[in-house]
Amino acid sequence: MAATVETIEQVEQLGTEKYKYGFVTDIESEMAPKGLSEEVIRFISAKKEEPEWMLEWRLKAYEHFKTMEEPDWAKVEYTPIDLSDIYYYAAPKVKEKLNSLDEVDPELLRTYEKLGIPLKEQEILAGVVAVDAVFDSVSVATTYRKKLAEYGVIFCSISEAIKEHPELVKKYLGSVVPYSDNYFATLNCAVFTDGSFVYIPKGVRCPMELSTYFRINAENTGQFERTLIIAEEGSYVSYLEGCTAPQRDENQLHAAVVELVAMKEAEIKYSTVQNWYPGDETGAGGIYNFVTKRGACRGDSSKISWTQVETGSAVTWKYPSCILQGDNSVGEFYSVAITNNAQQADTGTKMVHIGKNTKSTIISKGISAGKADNTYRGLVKVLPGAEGARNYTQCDSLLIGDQCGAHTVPYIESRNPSARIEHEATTSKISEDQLFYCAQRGLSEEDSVSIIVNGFCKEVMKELPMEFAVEAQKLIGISLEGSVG
Amino acid sequence: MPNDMANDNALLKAFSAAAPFDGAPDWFGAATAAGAETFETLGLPTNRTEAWKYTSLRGLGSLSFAAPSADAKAVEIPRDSVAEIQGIEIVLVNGRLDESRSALENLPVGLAITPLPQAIEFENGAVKHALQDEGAIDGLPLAALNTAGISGGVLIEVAKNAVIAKPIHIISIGTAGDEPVAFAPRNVVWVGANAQATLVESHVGVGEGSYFSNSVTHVTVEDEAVFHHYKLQNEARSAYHVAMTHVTCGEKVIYDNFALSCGAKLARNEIRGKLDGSEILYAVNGVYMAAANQHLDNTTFIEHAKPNSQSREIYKGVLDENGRGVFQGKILVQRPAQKTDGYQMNRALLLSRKAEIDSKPELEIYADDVKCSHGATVGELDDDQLFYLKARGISEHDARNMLIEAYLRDALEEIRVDKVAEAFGTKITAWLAERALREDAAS
Repeated sequence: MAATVETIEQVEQLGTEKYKYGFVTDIESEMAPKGLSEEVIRFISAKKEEPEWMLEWRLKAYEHFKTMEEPDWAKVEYTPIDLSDIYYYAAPKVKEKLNSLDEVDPELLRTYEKLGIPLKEQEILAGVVAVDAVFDSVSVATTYRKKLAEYGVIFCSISEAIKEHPELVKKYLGSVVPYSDNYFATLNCAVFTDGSFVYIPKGVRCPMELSTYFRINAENTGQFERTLIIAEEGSYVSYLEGCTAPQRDENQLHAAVVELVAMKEAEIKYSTVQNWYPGDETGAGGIYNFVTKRGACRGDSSKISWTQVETGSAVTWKYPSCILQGDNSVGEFYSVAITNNAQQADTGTKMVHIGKNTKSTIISKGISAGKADNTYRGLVKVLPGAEGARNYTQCDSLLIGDQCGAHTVPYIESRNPSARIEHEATTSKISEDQLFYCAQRGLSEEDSVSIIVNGFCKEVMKELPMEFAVEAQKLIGISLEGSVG
Repeated sequence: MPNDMANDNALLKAFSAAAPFDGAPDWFGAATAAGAETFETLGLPTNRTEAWKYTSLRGLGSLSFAAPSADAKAVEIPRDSVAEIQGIEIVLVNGRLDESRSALENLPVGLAITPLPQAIEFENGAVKHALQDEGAIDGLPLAALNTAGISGGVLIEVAKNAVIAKPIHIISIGTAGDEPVAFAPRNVVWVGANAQATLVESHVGVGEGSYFSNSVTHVTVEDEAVFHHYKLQNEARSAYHVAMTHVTCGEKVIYDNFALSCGAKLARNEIRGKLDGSEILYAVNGVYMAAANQHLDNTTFIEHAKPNSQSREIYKGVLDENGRGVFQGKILVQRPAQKTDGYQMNRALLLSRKAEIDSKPELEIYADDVKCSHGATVGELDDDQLFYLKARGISEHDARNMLIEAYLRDALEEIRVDKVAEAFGTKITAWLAERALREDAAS
């Protein structure tokens, strides 16, 4: 009897050991094998020289992931993703160098021009030159970093943070979006490759808008991006994500996770402009954007504000949320989602009121054109302890053309008699009168639509930081090109 | 899982045993079988099913229900519970028609009321269509369960151009007893073109204990007809009440529905309307009042299939003690339904710290030239209004009660038949009086 047990143990040991060492030899290679497996996760973790606890967390997520099923409740349809056909780790690709802008796709250049991007920047975006050839990126980054350091702000890649500030990462990573949260978030936990980390110390008002654009050491963060922002007591930060210029990416699946933590009296403003490749007119080749974004207002009187302009991707599945734990905390969600051609977006927010006198505001503007489907899906939940909670929700949909769809699916759950919740939603189209008025003043139909839609979205656009606002306005017009006439 | 299945089967048996349709034609047998099959596939819904997210029937599955016995006809009509209108009465006891107390003869010209088994035997077109319609049970487990074991019911036909002034009143009585019964009434209403009629349903119970009423009603309103359809759900407090109403409207129809829900332990009132014509005025409104251990669910689905129709929906609820209210409303606008005008509103007042409201107003729109809006509010009474009353020397307690009553009675404005609005109004007053007694007892 005892002998049998021993043998089993030995065999088991053999198994695990082989596993462990069999892989070490591969670590020099730049690419993990295709597909999702424990080995790949170990490889990513080893490659990034992560501490043991990080690897354990990843593996825990992976174990849980294996028990999960892909969700199908969103109102989107797409060809399922074959998770075994993805490279989860690959070193940044060296882009093919072009000699001048003449070699760039003229369609792309036309878009840049409309967006009003300076020529030098166009060259970067199109991949003609590297960023550092234009700006002295090292000096910019250094100045940037020096200034932030003066204030004690940490702004780096999450991989760096795992190594340099493990105590912070360990404390907060997964504290808002746990590893078992949902299918795509769990996948992200297991295989995330990089992302941003921001820490604002107590009482500091971050002196500049933080943008992924200037994040140093930014490698190809790839499809599984992980962002963690912590604002300590009384601090403030405004964070910008994305880019108005169209971004092409070879990775079809994007499953990012963003976690925000706001302590007492802290405020985080998170702005996104998402303009990933939406695919061709039938949606083929477009990005699947399945993102989990959630912020926790941990401390009293804290505030988290999400602003998003979503114009890209073939399929968007995204619900930036606020957990309003602290008393008097505030959650905001401002969203513009534009879908054209065959794009599909199912986006909205969740506001969970836990603390007393918590307030939330939801302003969502959905614009649907072509054959697209645009859904607002949101939850407002008031728990019994949320005395005096207040919510105001406004969802407006605009339909352009008779082949698209606009849908609103709000969930409102209240368990406190003193809570006040208001939800309003409307659906309309661009009226002939408005178009006629613009035409009379010599505007083309396309420009008129752009102006009218910008007016429709005004309440959200005014929430965008200046850096984004101007370009985002133009972007709206461009996204709707070809939708009228 | 296997446990759930066993429960589902037991429920199915309890219903099927009740089916009093010996010698019915083959198509009826096939429809029953299809209902049973659909129910077996879907099972009793739990909150994992999106359409039942806030109302799980899991608890129902663990109860054992018996088929009602035939001698239950001796029960008295509980006049205090039913809506007080002098109507043309049709009495159902545990889902079966009590012919002796139902007005089946000497009816106004243009109105015909036929017991369901007879209508099936005569191969009535409307009944045949209703029972064979896959759309009426597809994805709808409880409607399928009803089809699998119909207890009885009536066919109401209003002839073309007929104007029936007196309301038709269906009184469905459940008998609560030691052994809870389960029954499945099925009523079919056909309103001919250009006709006018009013139907009131009173769902009530007698005795102490539980029972399970699972009804399905089909309403077809032909072109240019006007049909008022009102329902009082005032079942016994321990009873389960699940009701499905399928409404189909033709061109230029006026259909208005109002549901007052205050009874039952768990109730779901679901109305699915198909606006299959232009220039329809369609309204579904209601009031729900829940107190201790009550769960009241109002679910509506409105499908605009053709252009130029209007739909209106206003539901108002008050939730006291640990009462729970659920509102799910969906408006679907199909591509051809241009110029649709849809409005939907749910307002709820929580009167207690233990009460809960879950609301899901939903729009699904595929036509661009439409005007659709919905709203939902949850909240306390207006402070300004309270202040106004208090400033005039009215106590806080009385002022609150006045405002609650005004808030609820306001909804009755939507009822187009005065007699019914009055009758429903007395139910609201009675509910508030009951609440006042509770409050006095507590203080």
